[in-house]
Amino acid sequence: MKLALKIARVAGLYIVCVCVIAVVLGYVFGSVPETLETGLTGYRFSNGWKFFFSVFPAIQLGSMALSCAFVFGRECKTNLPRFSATMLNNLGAVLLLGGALTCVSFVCHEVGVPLVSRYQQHKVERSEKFKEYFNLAQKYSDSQQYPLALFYVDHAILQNPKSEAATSLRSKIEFHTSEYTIYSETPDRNAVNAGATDLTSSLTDGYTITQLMEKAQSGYNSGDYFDAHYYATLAVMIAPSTDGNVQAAKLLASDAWNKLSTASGEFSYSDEEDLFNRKREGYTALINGNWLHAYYVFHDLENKHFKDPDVVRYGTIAKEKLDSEYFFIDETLDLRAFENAVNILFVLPHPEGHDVVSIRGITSVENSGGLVQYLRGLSIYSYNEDGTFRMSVSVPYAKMFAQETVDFDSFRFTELGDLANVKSVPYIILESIDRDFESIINKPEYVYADGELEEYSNKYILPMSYDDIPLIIDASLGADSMPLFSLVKFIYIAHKYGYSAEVFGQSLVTRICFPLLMMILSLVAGIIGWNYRLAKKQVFKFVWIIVIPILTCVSYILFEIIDSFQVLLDFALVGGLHFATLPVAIILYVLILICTSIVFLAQRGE
Amino acid sequence: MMKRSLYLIIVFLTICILGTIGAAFIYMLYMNCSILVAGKQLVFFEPSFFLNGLRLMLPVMSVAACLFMIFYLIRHKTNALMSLILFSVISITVWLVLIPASFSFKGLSGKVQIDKERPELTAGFFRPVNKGIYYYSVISDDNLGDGLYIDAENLYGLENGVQNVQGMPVSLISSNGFTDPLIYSSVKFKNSVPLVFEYASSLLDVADKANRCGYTTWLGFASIALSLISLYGLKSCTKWRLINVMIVMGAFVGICYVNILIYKLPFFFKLRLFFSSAAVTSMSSFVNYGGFTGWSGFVPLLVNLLIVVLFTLIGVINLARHNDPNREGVE
Repeated sequence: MKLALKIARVAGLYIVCVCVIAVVLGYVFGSVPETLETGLTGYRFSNGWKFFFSVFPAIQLGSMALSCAFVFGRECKTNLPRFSATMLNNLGAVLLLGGALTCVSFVCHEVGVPLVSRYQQHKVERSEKFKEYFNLAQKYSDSQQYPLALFYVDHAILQNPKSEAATSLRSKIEFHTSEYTIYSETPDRNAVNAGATDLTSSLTDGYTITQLMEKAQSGYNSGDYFDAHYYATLAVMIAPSTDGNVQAAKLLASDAWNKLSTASGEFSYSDEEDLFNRKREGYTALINGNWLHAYYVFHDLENKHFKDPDVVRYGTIAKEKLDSEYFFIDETLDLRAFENAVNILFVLPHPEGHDVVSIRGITSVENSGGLVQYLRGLSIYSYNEDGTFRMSVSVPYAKMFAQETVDFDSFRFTELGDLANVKSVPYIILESIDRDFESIINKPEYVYADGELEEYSNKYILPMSYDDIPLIIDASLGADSMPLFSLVKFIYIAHKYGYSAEVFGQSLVTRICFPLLMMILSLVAGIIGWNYRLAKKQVFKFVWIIVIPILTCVSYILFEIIDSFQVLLDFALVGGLHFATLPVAIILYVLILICTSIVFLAQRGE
Repeated sequence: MMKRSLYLIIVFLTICILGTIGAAFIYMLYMNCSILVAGKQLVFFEPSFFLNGLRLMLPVMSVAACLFMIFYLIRHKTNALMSLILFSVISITVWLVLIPASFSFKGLSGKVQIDKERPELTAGFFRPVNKGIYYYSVISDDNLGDGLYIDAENLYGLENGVQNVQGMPVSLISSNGFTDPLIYSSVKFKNSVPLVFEYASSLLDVADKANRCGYTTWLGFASIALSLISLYGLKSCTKWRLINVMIVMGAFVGICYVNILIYKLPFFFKLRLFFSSAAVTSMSSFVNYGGFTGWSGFVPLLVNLLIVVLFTLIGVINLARHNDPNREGVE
């Protein structure tokens, strides 16, 4: 332990020296993206740290060789036979220090480098988004569209709060307009709607037929014919045909509808009549399943009659129904800066052939209904069984969430293929709409092999487990960069989704065996240190410090050569042994570690 | 000490034989991967690649073994004269016999026709190529693929970054000598390794050309051996053996680099042209022979002799200063 501490002290000094050199080198020579305008110092420092983390394995080996050469020379006896107690003590110290530094190497490799890379990517994206928003703000400000300009300049300031140009542009826009308050109220309206959605759920779910009938009758008695018709219709829909209440519910619904149809003449003011007619229009659309029109009618009424219980109730029901078919364009406005993955690609086999799914960027958002994913630049290309093109669908933005398969009928199962053990599948909404204007709608573009539109749908169900989506997102980072836990799970399904199981298998074996390789190389460094140790009475000369960068460079090149060979060997093992590779590789590396330890012990002192 | 000097032969043979076999094995794995396509079974042992690997790696590993002999001499107390004689004899044998022999060994393994064995790509995989990704849904018998090109970095401004491709020759996406870019992306060597290999292979290239131009030219090139033997003089520059190892390594890299420069720099080209003018009739024939004709070999000899003088001088000074940590009897 004492010896290990002494070696650790010298190794620590070495590492600190190289850390300073690496950070300075990374700072000075590291590349900075042209698009980055702010936070240059932070980015340059991150370059330095990234360089340090990525070369840490080489630093570990260099520091071990040097510190062992220094401390063994000073501390150990000189005339030693093979397998001496001193060498056993030395081996313990090298293994202890090697183990500790290997842990640091592993953390640098698996956490440090990805963390800094993500930080740099985030910086670049923020800078690009700032530029984009700022240019848009300037454009709208020039064309005197101040509310829009304000919207974009606020988002630009969010990306870069220190920007003086953005702040002064905001002041200029503020000076020109006082209408920006309309824009700032928008989030409140969303909050009201979000609250109302929960209320709606309790209105439609969980009632028995008797309860529905009671509610319908009570509505009818109090003159609320919308409620009477609504609950009676619900009772008809959910009751089995043999139920005695069905006939009564039908009659009640019919009576209520008649009352609604003839109610126009009963109003003393035209405003009341207009309101009623609009409510009826919206309600009719709702009952007929035209959620889109129903939403816009009630949304329009909500602005003027937000206290009307019918407007609130059926507005929220229409909104809830709408949510399963459409999403709002403004939900995706500033999502790009928060994307958690880009270029996600996968293949999906199905009974008629296979689909290829391409997503340019994906943003996960947690809301009251669970996790939803916004997919930017979604393209799905469908191929027949013989690999010929069948159709494609593409859309600028889509919304995806989990759909439980318990709701599927046998037809849907046949259509989607084998989903026997799948609890939920990805359900994708392809159409997005404007919150206020019925005419603005983004539709998916379908292209069929024969040029004619054979089938149009505004939603798409992917025939796969929703649980695989996070793994595929991680896999988009690449086998060497994806989180290790995801990689362990992904290698079993990689082939299914168009990825090579060998490539991901090799990466897994290499990454898991990395600590063992580092331990072996640490022992080799210890052997080198022992054989080329400093003479016992030799005074350390300051000029020898020059060996630190040279030794690190040599270690770096040797480590990369060995690492590259290890990748080749692991790939060959995976190619021959498939899933059995990992245990075999671990046993192999452990055997090499034992052999190296024996070689270490067999060193003599002359 | 005398006995230990004789161990030099064992050190050389062990490193040379084991190193050549190991390196040939790695070479074989690399070549096997270069003709592998995703979804197909990897051939673990391919004799023709292994033999080719032996032929290619023997010169490299024999030179590396010479370097390791110096490391051995730095580590152990030996009879200085005996060690120098043995080291020199082995080094000269390597450069005058072993390396030319391995170049003439081509007949056996040169028959490997890699192109004929290259299999066709498989459909159904995403393959990264430069800054884009290819996906083939089907590949026809005449090696034309249908599928998609994904513009991963949005270089071409494609709608949603995806382009339908039809009837594209799949061989277009093979890269860096690999049939399948997907396999290449997995096993490609890291950062500094291709540079080291490029450096080593350019020296091998020069050696091969010199060898083909006759034994006299080869002798000129092989004068590098004299420089490498003179590394012996650097083995005890300081009293810390680890630093001596670093110095020898650095000098080794420097010698190789200078010898590459002799065949790359315009200055040396003119110098070699000057020396070869007696043997060749025109500039064009000089160039056609790759600048290796006639007395052009005199230039590397001259440069290497300069290095020998320098390193020998350092060695003599070290000897006079009793700088050898082994000799001072610290152990």
